[in-house]
Parts: sequence; C-alpha cells; structure tokens
Amino acid sequence: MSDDLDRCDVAVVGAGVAGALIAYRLAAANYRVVMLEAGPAGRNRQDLVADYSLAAIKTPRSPYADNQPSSPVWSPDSEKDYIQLGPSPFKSTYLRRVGGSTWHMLGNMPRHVPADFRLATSYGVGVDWPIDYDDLEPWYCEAETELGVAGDHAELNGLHGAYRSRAFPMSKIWPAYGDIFVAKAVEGLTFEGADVRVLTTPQARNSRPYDGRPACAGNSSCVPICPIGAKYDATVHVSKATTAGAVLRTQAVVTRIELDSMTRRVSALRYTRWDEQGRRDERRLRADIYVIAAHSIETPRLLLISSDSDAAPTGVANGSGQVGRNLMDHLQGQMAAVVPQPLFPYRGPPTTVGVDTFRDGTFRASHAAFRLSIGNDGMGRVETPFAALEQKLVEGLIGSRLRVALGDRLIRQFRISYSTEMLPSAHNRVTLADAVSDSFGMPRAQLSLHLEDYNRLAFEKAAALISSIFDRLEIPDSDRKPQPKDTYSGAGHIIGTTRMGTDAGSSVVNQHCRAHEHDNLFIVGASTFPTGGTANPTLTVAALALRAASKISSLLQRGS
Amino acid sequence: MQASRSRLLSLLTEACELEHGLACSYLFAAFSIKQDLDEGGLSWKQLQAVRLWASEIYMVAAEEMLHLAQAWNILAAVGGSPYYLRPNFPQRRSYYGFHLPLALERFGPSALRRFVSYETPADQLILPVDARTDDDEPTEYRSVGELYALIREQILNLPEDQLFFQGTQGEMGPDITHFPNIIPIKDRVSALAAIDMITEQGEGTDYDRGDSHFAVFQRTLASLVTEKERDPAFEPARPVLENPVPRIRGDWNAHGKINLIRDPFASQLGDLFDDVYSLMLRLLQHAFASGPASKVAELFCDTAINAMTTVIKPLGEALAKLSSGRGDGSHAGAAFGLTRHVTLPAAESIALAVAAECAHELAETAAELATSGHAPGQLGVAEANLKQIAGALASAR
Repeated sequence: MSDDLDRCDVAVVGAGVAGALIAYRLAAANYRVVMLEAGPAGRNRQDLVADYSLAAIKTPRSPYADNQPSSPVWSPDSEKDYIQLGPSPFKSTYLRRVGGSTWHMLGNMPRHVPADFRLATSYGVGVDWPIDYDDLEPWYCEAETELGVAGDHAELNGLHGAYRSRAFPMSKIWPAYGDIFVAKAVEGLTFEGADVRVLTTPQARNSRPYDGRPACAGNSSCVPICPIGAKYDATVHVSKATTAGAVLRTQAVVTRIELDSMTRRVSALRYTRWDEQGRRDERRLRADIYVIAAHSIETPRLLLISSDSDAAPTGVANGSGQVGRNLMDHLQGQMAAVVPQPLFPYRGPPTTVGVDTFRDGTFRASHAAFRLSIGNDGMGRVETPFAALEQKLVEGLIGSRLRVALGDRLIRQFRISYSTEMLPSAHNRVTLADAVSDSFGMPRAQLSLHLEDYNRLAFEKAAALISSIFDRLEIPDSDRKPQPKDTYSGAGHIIGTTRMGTDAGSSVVNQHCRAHEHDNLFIVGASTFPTGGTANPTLTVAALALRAASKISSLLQRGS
Repeated sequence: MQASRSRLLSLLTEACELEHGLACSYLFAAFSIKQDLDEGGLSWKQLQAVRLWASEIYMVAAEEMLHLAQAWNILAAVGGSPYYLRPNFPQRRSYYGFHLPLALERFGPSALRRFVSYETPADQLILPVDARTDDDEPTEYRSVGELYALIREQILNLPEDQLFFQGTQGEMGPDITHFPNIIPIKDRVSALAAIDMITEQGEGTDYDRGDSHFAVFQRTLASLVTEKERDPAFEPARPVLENPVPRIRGDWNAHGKINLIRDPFASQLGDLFDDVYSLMLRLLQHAFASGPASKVAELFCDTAINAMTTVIKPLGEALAKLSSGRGDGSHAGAAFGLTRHVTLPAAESIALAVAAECAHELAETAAELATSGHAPGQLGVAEANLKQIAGALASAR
C-alpha cells in the first residue's frame, strides 16, 4: 500500500497495543489500514538499552531519548510533568512512541474477575460495564495468544469465578527463589477470614521461545525496557501489521478530528508530520472507519480539542459530558523490609507471584479491592541497590567491609506492594489547559484527582496484611519500612476518560467501543473501562481491541 | 519394529543418554561465550547480541535437562530405572543411530551447525535410513525426533494395562522437582503427551517451527554469520579447547581426540566441576528412582537444580576463562566427565548421609581453590553456593 495515501479503509491513531492489534487484524483481512503515531519509531532496542545503561538517573523514560523534553512529543516521566489541578496528584505516566507504553510496562497480564464488570449490581458502588466476563472470555484467550502470556492455567482457572476456556500459550514463569520462600512462609495464613494464598502472576513474558522472541533471561529490567524482547511490547504487532500491508506513519501528530456537519460522522483526521529539524507538514487522512487509540490522557485531549461549534460543541463524542471524566489509576503503596534470611532478589522478573485473595469480596461495598505483588526486586522503589551502596558509603564503609556489608543487605532486601482499585468519579478528570499549548499549538491536558476514603481504607487493610506476612517472615519492626499514611504511587495504569456504556447520556462508547454519537468512530484502550478492577489493564485492553477489530471488520464487510 | 517392554526400555535409555549428551554439549558452547568487553573481540552492541545468544542456548540446555527428567519419568513408569550414564565426550559418528558425532566444542558456526542437525524436524531430513532393525541391533534414526517417534510407536503398540505399573514411580511433577513443564506419567495418554512436548520443544510442530530448538539454533547461526561478515574481527567465544579433560582416565581417548588441560589450577577446577556434576546427577537419579513419595526427593531435586544454575554454571564459565596451560593461547573447559558410576543407595538416610558428606568435601575443595590468585570471579560465586548446598544437605540429616 502506498505511503502517500490520503484515503484508506481504517485510520488508526496511536501505535500502542490497542491500535497495533486492530491494525494487524484488519490489515491481515486485506483492509487498507493507516496508523498515525505521534511519536518516533526510534532506534533499535540495543541503542535504547545503551542509553538506559548510561543514564545517571534511572527512570521509566531513561532509555527513550526521543521522548525527553527536547522532543516535540516528549512524554511525562513523573507527576511533575503534568499540569496538576489537584487536590491530589496523578502519578502515572505514558510513552508516545511506536509500541507505546508497553515499552516500559511491567508485563503482568491478569484478567479482570467477573465482579469487576458488575460493581454497581454486586456491591452498590461504581457502575456496571455493558458487557460481562462471559462476553470477554473468548477474547481474553485470543489476547493471551497474541501477546504471549505465560501462566498457570490450573491455578488461575476459576479465580473469583473467572473461568478459563483455554490454557495459556506458555507455562508459567517459574517463581523466583524468594517467591517460593515467601509462599511457604504464608501457608495457613488467614486475613479477615480469608485464606491468603500466593498465586503465580500471568505475564506477557516468554517462559520459552515464543512468536520468534526469546525466553526471559532474567535481566530484571522489564521497567523500563526488556533488553532482549522476551517481554511483549506492541512493536510486535506494529511489525505484524505492516508486514500484513498496513502503513505506519510515525512522527504524525493528529491535531484534529474533523466531522461532517450533516451526518456528524468523522470525515477526516488532520495531522502534522514533524521532523527533528523542525519542519512541519500539515496533512489530512480520510477513512471509512476511524479508531482513536491514544491512551487515556491523549485520547480525551484530542476529542476535546476537536470540538465543533455545530456538530460537537463540547468535543467529539462528548454529548454525555463524560469525555475526560472518571480518570483512574491503581493507587499503589509498598512495604519494604530487610528479611533475616537471604531471598536473593533480581534473579528473574521483578515479580512472578502475588496475592489475589482480596481482588473481590463483599468488602468492596466499603473499601477498594486490592492485589498484592510480591517483589523479586529487592526493596523496589523504597531503596534501590544504588541507594543501599550510597548509604553504606555514608556509614564510612570501604573495601572488603563495604563489599561484605552490601552483599549481605542486597540479598535480603524485599518488598510487597499493593494496588488498589479506584472508583469512577466525575471530578477526577482530564481537561484542557487552554492557556498552555504544546509545540503543535494544541492545549495541554490538565489533571484533577481526589484521593477517596474508599482507597485510604484499602491502603490500611493492605498494609495490615503485609505486616502479617512480614510477621511470618520474622522480620523485626526495626527492619520494616512502611508506606507513609495516605501516600501512594502510580501504577502506570491510566484508566477511564471515555467510558463505555449502554446509555449515550452517561457514557462515550458502546459495548463495542463505538462512539455513541459518531458511528464511524471507535475509541479503544483503557480509557473505555467503566471501572478499573485490580488487574493490570493491558490484557483487557488487548481483548477489547480484538473484539472491536472483529466488529469493525463486520461493519466494513456490510459496507456500513 | 516389534513392540516389547525391553525394546521400549532400551530406546528410552538411549534417549536419556542422548538428551543428557546434548545438554552437556549445548552447555559447553554456552560456557564458552564471552561475557565482558574486557575479554576483547567484541563491541558493546555485539556483547548485547552475544548475551542473547547465550541465554537462548542456556534455555535450550535447560529444556534438554527437562527432556532427560521426562524420559526418566517414563522409564520409571514402565519398569525401568532413571538412567544418567553416558559415554564420555567425544562420541564417534557411528555411536548413535543418527550418525552424528557428539563433542564439546566452543560456540561458533561449526557447533551451531551440529546443533541444528541434532534437532532437524523429520520432514526436513535428507539422510536416508537403511532399515529399522530388531531388538538385538542398534536402532537407526535420523534425528532426536525420530528416536522419540520409535518410542511413541512402542507405547502405542504395547497393552496399556500391562505396560504401566501401579504406584507413584514415574510421577515426579513440578511440585516436587522444579522442572516447570514436567508431566507425571501414569498411563499412555500422559506418556504420549510427554513425548509430544519433547518433540515440539525440539523440532516445533508442522505448522510452527519458529520457537523450537531447531529454529533457535538456525536463528543464532544466521545472526552470527551475518555479524562475522560485517565485522571480521568479531569473536564472541573464548578459545576453549575442544573436548578438554582434566586428566587421562579410563575410557577417555578411545573414540576421538581429547585435549588435556595442563595448567594445574585449571585441572583441579576441572576435577571439581566433574565431581559436582556427578553428585548432581546422583541426587536427581535417587529422587526420580524413589518417586514423589520419597521423603528426600524434594530436597535432592532442589539441591541438584540449585547446583546446576548456581554452581555448575559459574564453574563451567570459570573454566572457560582459564588458560589450558598448553602454551597455545587456548583455554580450559568443562569435561562433563563421568568417571565414578556409583549411584546413591536406595535407603534414604544412607543416601542423605553420603550426599551430605560428598557436598561438604566438595565445598572444602572449592573454598581452597577460591583462595588462589588465579581464581576467576565465578569461582567465588560457585564456592559460596556450594557451601550453602552442603549446609542444606547437612541440616537435613
């Protein structure tokens, strides 16, 4: 397919996991697909790894020089990079490049559990989804195969009612030494009447060579980059899409969604090609179907920017006023410790097991569900190996005493983190900062977030559970580092802002991710989740994208 | 070929020997791969590629160990006993039915081409097989996959109710031994599933070979050749001797060229490697022969698998970094010598006592060697881990 095409069957905005999967499925079905990606394709993986190695301060953005502040598509790397309206800060970030944020995701791929789709009906909080677990289950299977998910079918089949109709394509990533040790230590532990069980975490990380990519070699740098491609990232499906005939246009920032004033259908995408020399080239792309897959902050930003005084006065697809609202994350905390016995962290991925017991229960009426992730990465963010080294130097240790002391500490560092579900809330939202524009003249996004008691109480419960696990490990209080009260970090799970629903008055898209108001517009990604559950969102994003691709294909066949 | 239990046991034993030999051969190549820019011959970027190749070969070797354990499970289930012996390297071309030599050779195009040949899928084989022979003669097959096809044929043609014995022998699962994909064998269905798993990992399937051992070796070979063409100075492997041995003993030198390590320190380290390797095999053999009901099976499996990754691997890498002492710039290497064919006794308490005593002696030897100025860093790691293993066995007595 020619690259100078200005007309295609399907135009996809964003070459992350959702956009890439849709582009791949539709290109493979012989539709003419064009992907527009704001960010660069970037250099090869080894160059990115080199930049990460050389970075003095390691952050999720360190490997990606072309997403640093000097780039016109710079990507947020911390809460400080956002315009925050408060009262609480939003802390999760994303990446604008081919492959999207999957580059620096951890790679955990749990499914939602059935009650996650029925939160209002089951517990009287939040809202229900317009689909349920049964609707999505076959697509979860498809997504696990496409992404390459390693997991333990027998162990996870039926978790909180989440049945599995197909085994994982790969057996589980084998638990690390420390994980096995901790699992044995908690045997028989109960918390608030429930058995605390350590379960393996399904993850898009190869436990054997899969899809032409190698098995995980335990580099343990999944965040921010897998140096060998054993962890899935969406460049896999971008590559499959282009091989199947899709056209990828990188450094192509969509600046406006244009609407037909009569039909209110999307008539074109206006976009700007840019290069490193500062050149800009304005273009327009027309398609039969348009797919916006730009993640949960850029997607509502684009929809709001594209307001049309006649066809969409408050923004594209925003007749309900819900675009940008219900911004969610999985608010996290962690407790770290120095364990009496060595656990030998960093051998394998940063986490291979967790506690899923409290991902569902009647308690969700009063506090958030949460999931524990048992770390294999020392103290995680609380104390990195570099920080431990610095501390020992400050203590005056040098030479062999330093080596011995550091060796002793690093093999006993440990953390357990918790991720809590946020409820959708209209005042947690993305809006436009009309006075502050980016280098394309587009208003920047500004974020509002409120920390609710629903999460505060879950923080306390999770901390108490971790304390009881630390008791089993016989960790003295003096060697524990708890999370300060009412503080949290971001999980990197940016959710909500264009939620799906059956009612056009209270949601943005329908159950197939099709916009209520513009019938040739699809919006995909975690932005469509009505509620967040406790599962890392990528697998559900992928399942919904594959489901949407099927719907789009059937629409194109019918010529509608 | 006529089906009989003895024929099946014989084929399975040959499969064990072969899987075991392949695992050692792959490990030897992986040990020889450079790990640091200080070793010369490669740039930082090339080192990243080389690390990936090493990790892929280690992965394949680990799956060969799984295949060996899986074959032990089948053997134990049909009236055999886990078999861990094999002739020392090298093996002449005619030793196995597939007419390919087994040797310890450093990572490079030659070794990779041999590895590709071992794992070639049946539909891509070009060598003709003269004839399948009867029970008394060596079996002819063209690849590892074809050997398993013969085993499969035997299992299908023997009456299921008589072939499999009641009891827990052959039922070692991932809960007891940390081979994530190992299948406990109870009946024909599980035995055939195990064979399918082995064949699929080796050759892939008819519709997807992309992730098989065959494909991994082909991919690695192609990348290596491309990089060598682009940069003739690129040298990813240490100059390790082919088929190195720490000393001339017994059956060595019978079937091919071996190379004696002459440096005294490297030679001692070579002996230590072989002794740890032998202990590891004896622990696994005892566990698989006893079955999951054994009180020490889990401990022995844990210890053996820990030893593979935390002692044998660093020792093998340390040997590949040491001079052979032959004055030709060559390095030493791990011989994977099997010279003391003493299985641990069936009585668990005695087996534990003997194993603990042996581990303690080896840990002491390692500690002594680690104090040498010649010792590469990997030896310190191996020594610390061996001490821990010896401690775990001793505390279980």
